[in-house]
Amino acid sequence: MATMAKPRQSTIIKPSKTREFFALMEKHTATADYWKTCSESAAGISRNAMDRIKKLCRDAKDE
Amino acid sequence: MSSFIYVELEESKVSPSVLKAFDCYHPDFNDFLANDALKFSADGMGVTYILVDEEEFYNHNISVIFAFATLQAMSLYFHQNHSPDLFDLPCAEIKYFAIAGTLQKVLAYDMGGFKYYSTVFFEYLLMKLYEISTRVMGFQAIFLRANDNGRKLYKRKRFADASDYIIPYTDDDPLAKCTPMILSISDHLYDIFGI
Repeated sequence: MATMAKPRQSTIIKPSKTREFFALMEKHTATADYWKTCSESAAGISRNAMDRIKKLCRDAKDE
Repeated sequence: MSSFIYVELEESKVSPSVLKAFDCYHPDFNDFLANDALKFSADGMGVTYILVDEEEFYNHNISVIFAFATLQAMSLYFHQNHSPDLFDLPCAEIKYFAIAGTLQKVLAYDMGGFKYYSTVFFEYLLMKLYEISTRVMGFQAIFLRANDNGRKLYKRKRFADASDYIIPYTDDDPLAKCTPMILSISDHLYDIFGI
């Protein structure tokens, strides 16, 4: 196997901070409630509402 | 009922004029979408998804782009137990996320009025990422580098500020103006990585 190039510096967690970093990640985890909230946004909207939102975008372009 | 949908840029068959008409008030982002996104994808640098009216997509007549996002697979690396070896945490990076300028800082009254359009469109993107991570290609976290415009939104959506944990690298961010932020989508990280 070819030697892998060293990763970019900005993708490496500081060596002394690994445990702390994973503890941080544990506090910032998407839970079932999180996904439920997101999915509520994905519920449908009326055709009139969709057309109004499109008009908001188009009116700015026409100005 | 109507719905928004994130669709991959090439698959969308959106016209060049509609692409060029998208304006998020950030010229670099506009320019990327109109001129570079397709080649970026072909080179494996990131896949761009545009948020459009689902009905228009299926009828092949997309007239407006509400938002776009560019995603790339990447890893964050870490040392473990004083070992010099590097281990990796697979992530999806949101390289770009932008919404139409006229919808920025606007409450989505047509969708209940309790959230901004930016929040709603970002939540759509998060659902897309959840689908990708569980049905297309697994990853354990979502990573991004937030500019001033996006930081509040991502914090609202529970992304952690990882500035204290990541080694800064000026080539990635010469002006050091972006904040690395991360959200875990796996609640078994300790088990998986043996930390």
